[in-house]
Amino acid sequence: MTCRQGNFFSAAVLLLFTSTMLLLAIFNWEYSAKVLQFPLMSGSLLVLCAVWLAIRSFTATEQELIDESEVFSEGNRRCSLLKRALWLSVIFPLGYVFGFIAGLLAFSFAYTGYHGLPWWQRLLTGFVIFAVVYIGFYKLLGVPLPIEPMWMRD
Amino acid sequence: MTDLLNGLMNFARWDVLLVLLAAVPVGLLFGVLPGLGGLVALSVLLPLVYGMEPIVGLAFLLASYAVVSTGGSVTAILLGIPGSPSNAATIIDGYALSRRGRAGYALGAALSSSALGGVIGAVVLFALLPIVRPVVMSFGSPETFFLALLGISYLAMLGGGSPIKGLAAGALGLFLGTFGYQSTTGVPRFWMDIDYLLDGFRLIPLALGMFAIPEIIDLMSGQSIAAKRPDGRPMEITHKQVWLGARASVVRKWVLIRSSVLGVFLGLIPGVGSETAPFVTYGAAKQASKRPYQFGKGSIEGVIGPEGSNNAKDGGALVPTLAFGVPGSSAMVLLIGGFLLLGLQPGPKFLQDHMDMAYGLAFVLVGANLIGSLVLLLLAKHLAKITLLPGHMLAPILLTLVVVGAYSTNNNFTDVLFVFIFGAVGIGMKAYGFSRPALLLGFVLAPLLETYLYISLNTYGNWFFLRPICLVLALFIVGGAVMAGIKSHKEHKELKAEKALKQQEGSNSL
Repeated sequence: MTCRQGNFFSAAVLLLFTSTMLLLAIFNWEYSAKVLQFPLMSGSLLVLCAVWLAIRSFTATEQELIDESEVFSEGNRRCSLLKRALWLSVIFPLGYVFGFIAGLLAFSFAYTGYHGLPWWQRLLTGFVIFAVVYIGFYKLLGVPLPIEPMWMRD
Repeated sequence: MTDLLNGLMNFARWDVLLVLLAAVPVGLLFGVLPGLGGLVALSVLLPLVYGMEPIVGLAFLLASYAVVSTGGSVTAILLGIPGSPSNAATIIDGYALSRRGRAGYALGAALSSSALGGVIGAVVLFALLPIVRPVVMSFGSPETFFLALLGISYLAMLGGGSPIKGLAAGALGLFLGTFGYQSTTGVPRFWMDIDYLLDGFRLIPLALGMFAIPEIIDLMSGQSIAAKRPDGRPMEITHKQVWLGARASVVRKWVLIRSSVLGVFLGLIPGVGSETAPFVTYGAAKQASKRPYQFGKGSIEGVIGPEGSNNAKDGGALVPTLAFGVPGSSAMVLLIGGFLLLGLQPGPKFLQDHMDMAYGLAFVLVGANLIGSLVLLLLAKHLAKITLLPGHMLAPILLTLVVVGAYSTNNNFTDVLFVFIFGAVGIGMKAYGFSRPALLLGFVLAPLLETYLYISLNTYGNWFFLRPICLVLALFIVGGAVMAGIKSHKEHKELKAEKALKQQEGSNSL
């Protein structure tokens, strides 16, 4: 996707999200005027901004749009943006199914192993995670974390 | 004067000093760990003070609370993760400096600004305690509404390269802030039959998702946070860099003083200060700067501004807490709980009977801020080395901090899910140059704006904005916007001229 297309896409998403919410609020949920006043004000501002952004994505030069955007660091083929997003997406299910200790440690060992880190760095990363979760948050600060798998909880 | 001396004597007691030394590292730890923050720190520590002598117990609570945002600035600058939501504004330029290998410099400036801001906050507390009543009482709902509006006026300033994208992000924040129960009528909005959304979106998952996830995605490329030298060697981090940073906040004293005073002022008004102050002072620092184009790319003024106000606002928030028993921020509610637990009732009678203790607490604020910052300044060189670690090693550790931090705020797994949802939005916003701080500021200010507008209209009628303080604040807002417009126009012209000159030079050399 080019920068121009991306800018137009983001403006379209903003417009779609806000207008859908406002239309649902008026016609489906039927909020009273008192309840809807402020969301309508902020939503209208957002719709105006989105329309402006959509128009601007055609009128601004490509260079202007590129200057505004931030580029993510590039890595080797094992670190494409898609693969990074996939790695992120497995954290939540792992933590939910196996609990915070086992889930996060499994993620850490799999991730550092996939990227070929030396054994001592993999071990150190695992130890830091264990220390932060179990010793730091759970024991010292007394935060009731789901240490055990969620399906074993009452 | 006698009260002030007695306050100093209270502070200089060995047991108070000892408790201060114990509380500061605890508070710093709560600040460094994402998601915890001052509110969690006070709620965890509150039961511990039971049975203590009042000044000792209160010194323990206040000292640990006062340094939380100092600790949070370390995580914000080094890792790009807000230790607490109030540190989110520091990320913009602090993390940018870290990426350029200048983490030590940014840390030095942030920590010294925190310390000096905290001292300025305490000085204002000293000055205001005897005369506080008319100052706080002059701020009703209309004035608070205009203060929130002042914050909104900085949205476009937070937009970085494109003011319209700043405004759009702020408007999205305002809109998302309206989800959940409306405070004035109790009607839940936009909750789509999802129970979690009845209370609206939560601030911590939003802040962690918006700021931490995009930076972690970046780190997953395998590169370290700090840039490397052209020859591939890592940047050196020295004590000298840290002290140069500390010096920078003294050299730019007007940025610091202005931000701190603004921070105290915002902290003073119940319900406004805690999360708003750093963003407002960031916007104000950018507006007043001679080099606004450097903001967002690693401007040291962009670190000094929010950090100066971050600790100063605590002094301001203590004023209504001590003088009226009205909590100046959500964390102050718990501090009032501490007072009650220790057999004291803050309010006008408290100041009448225990003015020496109130002054003693102001001294505790000074002491905690100075000790907290000094400890971290001495450790900064070693802490900054984190930025040299390989990204593949840091990413799982940071993800752990984010997941655990998000969960521990409400012990709710859905918060973790929302971190990743907001993370996806944050990645898109970063990629296309939308201002993430503007979204957060809009989100924080939405309930304030709505509630105070509603109360003002119902209590004072349609002409509520004609009250004197409102008019002064309106003048500030309009004046600021006009000045920002002129400055931006001038800057745009200069940049255009510079580009044209470069092009001409290029064609001449050919």
